[in-house]
Amino acid sequence: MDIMVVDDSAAMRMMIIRTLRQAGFGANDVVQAGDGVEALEAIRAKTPDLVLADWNMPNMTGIELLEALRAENNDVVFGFITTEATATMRSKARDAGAKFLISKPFTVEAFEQVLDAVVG
Amino acid sequence: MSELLVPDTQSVKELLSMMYGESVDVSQGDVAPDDGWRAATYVTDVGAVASVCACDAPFVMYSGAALTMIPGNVANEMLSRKDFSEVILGNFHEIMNICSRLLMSDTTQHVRLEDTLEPEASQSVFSTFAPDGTLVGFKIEIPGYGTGSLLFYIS
Repeated sequence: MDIMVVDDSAAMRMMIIRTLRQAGFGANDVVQAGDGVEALEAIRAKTPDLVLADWNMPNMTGIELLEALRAENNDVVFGFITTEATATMRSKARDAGAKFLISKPFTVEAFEQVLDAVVG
Repeated sequence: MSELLVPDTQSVKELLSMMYGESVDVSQGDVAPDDGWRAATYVTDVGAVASVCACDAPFVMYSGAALTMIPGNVANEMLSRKDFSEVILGNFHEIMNICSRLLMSDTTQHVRLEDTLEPEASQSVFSTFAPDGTLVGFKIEIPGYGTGSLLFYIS
């Protein structure tokens, strides 16, 4: 499975990749993008099986990325890993087509629980 | 919809423990920024600054180093040289991003991290924000690193 991790923090991308490994998803190929624009270009070239994106990023936010993908009829499995944890933001994510939202800071157990249900 | 939450010892400890482990020690107390402190600004959806988090140099260094497991002795050496590398400041920015959760709930207004500032730029933010807001300060001990301070101003 190809997984794309989109976050403007290099440290956070590394933490997400480490947590993916600890949650049993270490055998998958992981690519990274630093914002929504970079991710959109990469996804247009090759759609991964799963996108894990931050919400607040420069240039193009995570929700703008998701909306752009759906506008292009790209139905890649998409989830947020973000500090945005309120009911309003969860609802907005779901309405835009996100499969899940994992709150920062996250745990290995949260990854296992959510990712096993979505792509396990 | 109410204004922002005021962080307390329990909420700060719960959040930081998820990143640094259960041994993180948090105590509320009087702390006051000096010229080495850095500010993180949080803005509402219309771009108004609603809160500022002020952090002393040890908290910036230790929180940033611990996030990516830079050893404590290396962090202390960097702190003594005031060597705040791009990695440390990038990690600190992410910590401040995560700390936005301390200010929000389903029933408060929404804020997001706008920026983290260098000490020089932070001073005017402190002086502008301090007189009118609610202030709450904490001492934070990150195991294996050391103790730093942070202070939230909430409008």
